[in-house]
Amino acid sequence: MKTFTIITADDHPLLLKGLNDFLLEKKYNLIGSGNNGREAYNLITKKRPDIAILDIQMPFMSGLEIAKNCKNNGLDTKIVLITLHKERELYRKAQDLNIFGYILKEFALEEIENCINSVTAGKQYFSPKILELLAEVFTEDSSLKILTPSEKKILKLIANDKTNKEIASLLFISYRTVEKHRSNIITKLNLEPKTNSLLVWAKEHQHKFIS
Amino acid sequence: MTNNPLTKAFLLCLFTLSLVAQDIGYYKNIADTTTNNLLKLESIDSVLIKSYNIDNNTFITYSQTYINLALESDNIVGAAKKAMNLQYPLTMSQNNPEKAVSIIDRVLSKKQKIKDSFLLGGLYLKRGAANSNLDLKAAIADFNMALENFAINDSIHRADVYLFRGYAYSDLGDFVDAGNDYSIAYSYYEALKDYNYMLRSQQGKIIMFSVNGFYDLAKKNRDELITKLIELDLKEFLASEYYNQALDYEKIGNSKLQIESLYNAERHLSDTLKGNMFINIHAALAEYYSSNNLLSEAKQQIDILENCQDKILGNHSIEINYYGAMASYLVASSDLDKSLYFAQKKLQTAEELGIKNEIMSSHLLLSEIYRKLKDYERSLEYKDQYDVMRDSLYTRSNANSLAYYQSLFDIQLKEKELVEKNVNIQLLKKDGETYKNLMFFISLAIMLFFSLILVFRNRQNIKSKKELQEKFSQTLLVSQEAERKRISKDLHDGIGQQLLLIKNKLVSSGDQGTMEMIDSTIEEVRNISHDLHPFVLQEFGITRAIEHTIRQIDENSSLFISSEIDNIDNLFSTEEEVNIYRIVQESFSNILKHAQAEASKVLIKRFSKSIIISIKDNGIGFDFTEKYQDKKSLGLKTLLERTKFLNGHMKVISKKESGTLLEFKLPLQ
Repeated sequence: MKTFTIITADDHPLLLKGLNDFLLEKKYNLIGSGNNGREAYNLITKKRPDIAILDIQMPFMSGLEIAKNCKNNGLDTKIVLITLHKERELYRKAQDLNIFGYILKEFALEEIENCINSVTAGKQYFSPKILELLAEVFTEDSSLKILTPSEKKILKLIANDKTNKEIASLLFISYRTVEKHRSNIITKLNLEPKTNSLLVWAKEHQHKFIS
Repeated sequence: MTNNPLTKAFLLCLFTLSLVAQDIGYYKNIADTTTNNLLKLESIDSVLIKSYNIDNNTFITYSQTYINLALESDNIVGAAKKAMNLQYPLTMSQNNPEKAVSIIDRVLSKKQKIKDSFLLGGLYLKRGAANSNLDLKAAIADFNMALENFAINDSIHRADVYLFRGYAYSDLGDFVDAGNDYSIAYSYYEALKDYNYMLRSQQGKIIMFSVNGFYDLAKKNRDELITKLIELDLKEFLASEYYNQALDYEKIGNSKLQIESLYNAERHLSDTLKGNMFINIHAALAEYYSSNNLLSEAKQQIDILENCQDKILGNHSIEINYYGAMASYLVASSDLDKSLYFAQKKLQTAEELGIKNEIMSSHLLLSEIYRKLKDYERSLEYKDQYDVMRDSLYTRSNANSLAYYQSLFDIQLKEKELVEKNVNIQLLKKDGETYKNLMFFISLAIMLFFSLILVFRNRQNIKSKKELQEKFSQTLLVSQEAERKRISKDLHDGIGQQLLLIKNKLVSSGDQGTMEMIDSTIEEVRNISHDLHPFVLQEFGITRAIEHTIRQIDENSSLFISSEIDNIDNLFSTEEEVNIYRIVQESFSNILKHAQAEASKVLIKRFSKSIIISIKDNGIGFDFTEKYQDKKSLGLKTLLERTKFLNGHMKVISKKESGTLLEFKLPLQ
């Protein structure tokens, strides 16, 4: 019997049962289970579980709202979202809301053990399929993840020694737009506002975004 | 015997001459003895020709015989001719107008056999002339008949009728009609150049005025006549006009103008013609000088008169004047006994002729002479007679003038009525026209009104249709969105969860291949569901959703996108947010599908009262109207509908080959 406590919540009874059965089979300490968001949140506040495995879309309160409330109320229950939605935005949100895991429902049974293990160890867990979605972010330097594809295009051109004018004509945009993009990138990468700083950075990290 | 034609002709001539030269008695004899009607008529005719204007009694007697015979033998025309000729002598010399009337009546009883307008008119004219001495009204009726029967071209006879009727009216005291008739006769005579009668008709009018005391009218007409006479160069008639004028002045008592007129008259006298007028004028002058005590001048005039005594004596009308002049002169030269003789002579002649004015002046003259003879009784007697006569004349004159003005007034009244009627007719016409105009304008107004209503209703109809359509398309958008959301949810929650259950089952049985198939199915369902209704929009708000979409497009296409997006979360309702999201999505969809653009720029700016979304590309552009009219192209229409749903404005700036700018200005509540 594993010592850490777990609660689950899903508005779909069969799926919930399947998950619960699986957890119990694996001898996890499942101390509660809710059919909607409100029940789930009540369970969390009452029983203070270590881990809460929640569906996102539930009546009364979504998984994200629960996570938000937990964060706001200082509850340290680690939230794992288990959902059919595959959204980059959810990953971002997870970073903000103390969400430790994000599993696609279709892989729930396959990945839940890994996830719980990872989470109990204090590490975030994301479904490999989600990581695929965020491929660059995780396979490459994380500093690139905040750049938009267009900004990355500009960065590539900068690394290839193109001047602002050349970039503008190549991308059919105005010179000023290129300037604006450059300054945006500099801000996002937290570089020093010097003329060459971006070029130097682009040269250094060239291997990361030129495939 | 020489059978010479010349001799024959001479004999014939001689015979004819001898016939003409036959004595009237010869024909009388034949007429009285023969039983052959034709021969009798012929011989009577000859008698008549020979006695006409010579032996009135014979003429009258034989005329009657002829008429009787002619009537008996049904020779109405012949009878008519003789009856016409008979009228004048019968009326004038025998003073028997009744006889004339009865003869003409007899002829007229067979008037249907007379075709000649001249004869018929003439008979009426002659009967009228006879009647003038008997019954003025009957005379006027006859003259009217004559006018009816005379043809238009019998103008000389018509003129006569008018002149005679003028006399008749004048005697009746109907001065207005008389004046009219005189004027008509005058113009007829003038046209015919019969100046003598022209003068007569005008004089008839003037005398009518003068006798009845309308001196002004008389003078006016006389002046006109004088002007006319001078114009026509008929100076021989001027003397008498001036003389008459002088008499009028004498009556008014204006001696200065009287003598002036007399001088004028004397000046215009033709020297050779020492006729009546010559005597009259000099008598008047003598009288004038005498009464003004200019004895030597008076003597001159008296001498002239006495030189012409042979002409004067026997002619009553000038005798009066001569006696008057003599008497006046003798009074002035105080030879009272002689003057008494002349004055009495004058009175006698005046009474014979029945000229009232002269009788009156004789009375006055006698009264004066007796006064000077100190025979006051007689003087007073004549004076009384004078007064009586003057008063009666005065009264008559007054009555006449009253009658004149009465009829003039009546005529004016009638004219006035006529004018009023005309005015009324004009007013009615005008009313009618006004009414017509009014009706026209009213109908125009009604038509205008109805067409306005029609236009208005039409517009209203179009407007409501358009509103209905807009409402419909917006409802369509909303329901489309709702439907998408429902399908998305069904896919996600229904099929998705079912697939999960199957997957879970497979996990325990461990069929790896099937599991992968299920995974890809789930992935597909998820994508479809996401496309139908973005989960992000619902969970993370509009700003994130837009950013997400842009990023997805950026990643999945070659389009270079620059974006500056302000946070516009919580400004709009869920439905509105969906529309805004769709606007951005569909704009990009258009760019990717049609624009062939390399780059694009999205700006979402938040202002205090509105947000502006501007999406620009550098693609091939398009012609807005062309695209908008294209029924197959729904993209722009949908964009517009969505903008309207948000109460916003859409601006499209696009030209072929120069890119497109879509700008949406959406107001905030």
